[in-house]
Amino acid sequence: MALSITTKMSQDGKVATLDLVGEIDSLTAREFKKELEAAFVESEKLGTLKYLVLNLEGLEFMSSAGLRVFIFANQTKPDLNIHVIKPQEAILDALEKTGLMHSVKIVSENPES
Amino acid sequence: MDIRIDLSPTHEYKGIKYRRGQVLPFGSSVIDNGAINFSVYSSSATSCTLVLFKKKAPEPFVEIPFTQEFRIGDVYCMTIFGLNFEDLEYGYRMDGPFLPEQGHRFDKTKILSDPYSRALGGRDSWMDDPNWCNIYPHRSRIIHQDFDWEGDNLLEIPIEDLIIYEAHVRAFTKHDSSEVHSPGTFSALREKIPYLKELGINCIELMPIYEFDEWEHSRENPETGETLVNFWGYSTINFFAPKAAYAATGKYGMQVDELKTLVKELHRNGIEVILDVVFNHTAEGNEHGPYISFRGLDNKVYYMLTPEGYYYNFSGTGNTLNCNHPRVRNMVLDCLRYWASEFHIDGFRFDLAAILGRDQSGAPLLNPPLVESLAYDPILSSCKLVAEAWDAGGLYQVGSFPAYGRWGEWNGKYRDAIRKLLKSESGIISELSQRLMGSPDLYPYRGPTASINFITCHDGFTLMDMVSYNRKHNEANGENNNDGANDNNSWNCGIEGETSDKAINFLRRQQIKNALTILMVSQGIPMILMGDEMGRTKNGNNNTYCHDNELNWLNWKLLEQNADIFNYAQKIIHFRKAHPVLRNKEHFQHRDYKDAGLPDISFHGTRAWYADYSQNSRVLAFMLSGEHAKGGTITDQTIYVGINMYWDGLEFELPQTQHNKKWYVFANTSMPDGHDITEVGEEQILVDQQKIIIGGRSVIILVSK
Repeated sequence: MALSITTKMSQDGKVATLDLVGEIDSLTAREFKKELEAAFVESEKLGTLKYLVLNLEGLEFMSSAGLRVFIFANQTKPDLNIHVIKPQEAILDALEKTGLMHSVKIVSENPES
Repeated sequence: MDIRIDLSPTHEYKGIKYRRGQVLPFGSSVIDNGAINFSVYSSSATSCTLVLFKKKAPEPFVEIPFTQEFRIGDVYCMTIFGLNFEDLEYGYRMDGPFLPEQGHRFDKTKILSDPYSRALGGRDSWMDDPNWCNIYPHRSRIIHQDFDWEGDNLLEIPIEDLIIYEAHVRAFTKHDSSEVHSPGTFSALREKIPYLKELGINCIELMPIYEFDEWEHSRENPETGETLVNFWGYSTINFFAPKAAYAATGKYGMQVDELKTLVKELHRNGIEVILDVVFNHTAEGNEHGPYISFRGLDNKVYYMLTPEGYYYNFSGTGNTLNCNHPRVRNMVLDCLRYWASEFHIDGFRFDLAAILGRDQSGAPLLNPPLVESLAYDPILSSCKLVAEAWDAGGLYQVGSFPAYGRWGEWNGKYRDAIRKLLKSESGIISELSQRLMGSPDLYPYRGPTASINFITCHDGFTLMDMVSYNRKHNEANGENNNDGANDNNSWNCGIEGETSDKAINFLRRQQIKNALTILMVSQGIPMILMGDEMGRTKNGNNNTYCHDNELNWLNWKLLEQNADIFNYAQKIIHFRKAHPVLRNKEHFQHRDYKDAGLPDISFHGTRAWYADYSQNSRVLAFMLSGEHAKGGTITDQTIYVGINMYWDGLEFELPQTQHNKKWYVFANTSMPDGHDITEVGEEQILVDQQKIIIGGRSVIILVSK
């Protein structure tokens, strides 16, 4: 299954929201990373990005490659708050067991809404 | 321009695009643009084919032969483009002669895993019933090697300061009482780090975590019907791949990330990680064993063979890895470099390491190249290297393992001597004095840090069983009690096995405390077996290699049931950490080189300054001068340890303290719980400073302040 990504940027550039639907594997992880980089560039034009919101409700699978994009975001912008919305159980499990839970916050709603 | 011109396909085969690959690194590796490089070698194969499967697919989707232009020397290499490597499994078919008398056993009908693969599929979850008809059961997989270490590195704790805890990943947390989220996994071990810190150890030694097959030699216990398995894991399938079934995320293929996260977290908490590595044999067994990898790739290179082409069996398991063949030697070196650099592993304990010192025909070498290479390797230079300095072929090298100034040894003579002492055997006091000092008789030039002191380890009785059983009780192993060691040097304190006799139970606890005390006040590196700090029992079974059940699983309820043992263990560990005089790097000089009024160490008996080494003696005391701690570079308290393994109490005359100081009691194992040990700094003054009664079969510790 492919990956579809929809990105929304708040007007002040503080909040970028990515809706991820489908599966992230080693091939589609590149699309995820590209989309994230584009969001970073766009936010810089508007202000300072404070929140990266990843809506995972429609994401059915995330491989090790997907986890690495999280780390990429964390390393690129160490002060960024990464909020993850509604990850499915297997994804939440992987986030916990690989130690990435330290870097992200699981929330039920977009702080923007 | 940053476009590389050697990273585009030049060939196509059945829709797969590829080109000649890069020779190094061996194994599979992901190149920047998503291409995957494969590199494998064989000295005697006549051809090689790369076999590719979709993950868990029964049949390969393509088999690509390596043409001659893809071979450099003995190495076959190929780069593939456009595949999702996370959904890929690969292996090799090697063609060549099947001439066992010449050492060759090529069979192109077999698909072989890559000896350098960093992950293996096929045993992703523990004891998941495999497809026994699988044409390729242990499948090489490709992983991400990068990891966010957040500044972590090897801890490099000075070896003399280590306190090692030997543990089994699954056994540590599999029991329901462990109350963790994913029992039996790396992740669960991470949850238990606070416990390890509370206990006070600073190094965990993990029994094998390389990929092995728990189903190997599995069978039914004729008495119980239970499946007996390869639980301990001393039978490697692949030396580079962590065991997927030890990871809660193994089912997602994330075992590498989970293990690295565990190591990072242990390091954050000041705990080093030593791996128990098994380079003496593989899981392929003898000539009747399966083809997994090495046998089909280059049998003559990877195994020690008799002139007739049969397998030497110095490991007791059917085959012997040909460690001192230059190619195998390089593989071992590559492997350990990988674990040190990619997983931040702090040290290695080599199972049956005497095999590492045998030549290709099995004869012991004076200057074994592998042992030397490991000792001088730049990447491994700060890793601890520890040998189990014997093998199953009768080579016993405790005290004589070629060390190159680097190697330590599991000191089997320490274990035997302390066990004999604890059961009040005669004629042991002279040897005891050597063991307490870090065995200078065995390691005169290497110092006490060459001696890994232990009384119990995974092999043999637990500490509780050592004081509860005279004989092994291995019936549950289904081998008619013929397996396991018979020379246990144990004593049941009066009744074989569990008893409600209060006096015997009190004595057993006292003996456990004696053992822990002697271990923690000995020079050298102490190692504790998982669970001994809480009185773990295996019901007298001294060889539980095949049990995935409560015989091996640590029952955490013991922490409450044996709270006194845990309390004692915790405090005696803290005592060792608080006193540098117990952790010297160099041997004692038996003289006062600091003008302190005392020699660095002195031995005593029931009379001060007169140790009794006679055949019937069962007592020994020693005093460590605080002025001479760590070779006189640090000032510590002076410590007196009195050991009375006679069965009645005896009066010990005490040596005089220096500088108007007084003796204070830190521990007395003959006292009941609550009075047997105190906190460091809260020692009670000894009323009579001239002498002390030391109870029968007990140990006291005094500090001078």
